[in-house]
Amino acid sequence: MSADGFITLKQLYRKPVRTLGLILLGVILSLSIIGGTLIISGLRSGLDSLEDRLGADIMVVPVELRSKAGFNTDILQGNKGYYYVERDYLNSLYNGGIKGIGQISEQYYFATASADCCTAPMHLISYDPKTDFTIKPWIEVSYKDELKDCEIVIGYDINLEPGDVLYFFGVPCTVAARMEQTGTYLDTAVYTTQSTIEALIKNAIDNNLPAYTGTTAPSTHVSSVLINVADGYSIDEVLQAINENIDEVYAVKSKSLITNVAEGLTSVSGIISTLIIVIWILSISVMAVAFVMIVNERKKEFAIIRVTGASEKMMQKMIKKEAFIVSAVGSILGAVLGISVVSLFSESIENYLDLPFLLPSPANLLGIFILAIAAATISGSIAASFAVYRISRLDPALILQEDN
Amino acid sequence: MILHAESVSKEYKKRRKNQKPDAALKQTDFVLEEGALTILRGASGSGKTTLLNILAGLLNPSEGHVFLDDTDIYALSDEDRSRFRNQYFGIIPQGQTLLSCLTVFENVLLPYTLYGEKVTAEIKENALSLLKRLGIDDLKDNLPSELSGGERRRVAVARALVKNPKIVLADEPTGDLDEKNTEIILNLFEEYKKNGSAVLMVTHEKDIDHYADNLYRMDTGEIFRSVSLRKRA
Ligand SMILES: Nc1ncnc2c1ncn2[C@@H]1O[C@H](COP(=O)(O)OP(=O)(O)OP(=O)(O)O)[C@@H](O)[C@H]1O
Ligand SMILES: [Mg+2]
Repeated sequence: MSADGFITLKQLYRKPVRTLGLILLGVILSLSIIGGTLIISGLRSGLDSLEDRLGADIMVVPVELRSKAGFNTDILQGNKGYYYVERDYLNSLYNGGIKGIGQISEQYYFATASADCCTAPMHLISYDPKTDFTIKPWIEVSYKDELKDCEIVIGYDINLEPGDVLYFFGVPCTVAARMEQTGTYLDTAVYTTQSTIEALIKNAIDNNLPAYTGTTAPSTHVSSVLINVADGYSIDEVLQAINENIDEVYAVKSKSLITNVAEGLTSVSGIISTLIIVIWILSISVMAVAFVMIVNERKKEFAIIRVTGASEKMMQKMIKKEAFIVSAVGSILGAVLGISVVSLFSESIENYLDLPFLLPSPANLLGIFILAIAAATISGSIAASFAVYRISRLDPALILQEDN
Repeated sequence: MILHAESVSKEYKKRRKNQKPDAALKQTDFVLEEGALTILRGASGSGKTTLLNILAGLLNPSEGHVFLDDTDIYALSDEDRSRFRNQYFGIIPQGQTLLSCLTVFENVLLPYTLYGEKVTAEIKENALSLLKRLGIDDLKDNLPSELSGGERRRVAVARALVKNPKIVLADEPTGDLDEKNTEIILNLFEEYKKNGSAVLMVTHEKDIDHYADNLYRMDTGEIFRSVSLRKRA
């Protein structure tokens, strides 16, 4: 090892409090960089996946939902409660009464409210496998080609394995597939066919289960209709036609749902970016002051090393090395801590910010990790440059004279 | 090797506005002979440390040159001059000069480790025997903060001598030492001198003049040669 490295290590090792203090600054810096970056990128990819996942141009929902405050975000967060529209009102969507309907598929939402009916309270989404174009593309691992009756697809976050069984109103349902992650309530939902829902409801009624209080069923009611516009028609055109002709429903553009969320995301990202920059500037300043103070405090020792034959350049290298070591150690610790904290609390972040949140893929995570470490380490070196300048202005002979 | 100062002088920058800049060292020629022990004495503030630092390549003279043999050391780059200092000079600065983060032994070996030289068993043995002669070998693994003032000064002496320097510059090396230790250090200087080193010792001690081959006295920035009382062997 070169001598400046040797002395640097001794300095760090024999002054543990000072060293830990400097490392802590590095930790704060890289923690804030990586934490902030992860949150921003997590929100962004959550939103992207949600946009893909909505998968339809137009979403048609019962008209009661229009007047609900915060409808746009609610519909993405799954807080919307359960509303239904009678199937009969929708005829014009199917019989050509409204022009420009390309793909169309219905969904029926259903909550199993309490534990005495089921293994656990669940949000059930049923779809029609014959027309569905928004659920099937997102099945991550499938174990069967087609869902049979009483088979379910689980959201990404549900902790079950294929072949596991969930009970709904006493009916055993087998897990057949798992969905990809969205970072939203969809990750804890259960997907199944409409005929399965029918069977569950029938069983509940037949056995007079008190937990079941519903009065609707997929055969007569619909929770939402997803529509892709046919070629040659514009989304707005079709949207307007639906809203004008069917009073019982409210048609929204999927994109506009996202836009609202995206606006929320932009403001959150802005706050986080500002915070990162403030913390960045603060920790570089504190580090810079700390390093200059350290040089001042040790200037006699530096003079002695110069007397023994070290050049000015070597002294500068020594400071740089010290700054590099503490900020590298600090930033690695901070980055590890940041990734752990964000991973552990990703669900709380999602709930707290009320925005979809998806952790980046391992490869991206590694990239962010390395970038954060590099940024924090480089910042440490920038902070040390004042001290490096200071040391190059120290005259060993004059310093040694000072305290004689 | 001969260290030779040619009409060097030093005027420090004014500390306060109205202070007239005093010449701490008036124009001086000075030769430090090899194989000789030179003693320099003089009142406090007379310019001894100033001269020593100029000779050591640590303090740029206001005027004049310092030559080590034929090399003008202030014409060298900082890097070369530093390297020179490490290679040929053993310097004991005035005051306490140990590195607090290094042990006694690490402090003593610093002239070697500074440029990443391999510290051989021989070097270690030599360092240890220096410490032993100075009576501080059992403290070799202690930190400077655990040493007395006199012990620290002896460590600084060992550090200056460990690399067998051609030029030894000692600024009051026996300042807070008892007679016995003063004598040990003077004997060490004698040995180095006999091995061909040029030794300069700045001191206030009165009764050691008989060790000196050359004796100088400084008075307000001027240097005067005194008669050496040494009986040459
Ligand atoms: N950095 C400085 N700036 C201005 N003047 C200085 C500086 N260092 C020393 N001096 C002045 O230069 C003169 C010579 O100082 P120097 O340290 O060489 O004296 P000295 O002979 O070594 O004294 P002592 O025996 O007390 O160590 C003194 O008058 C001192 O005040
Ligand atoms: Mg002095």
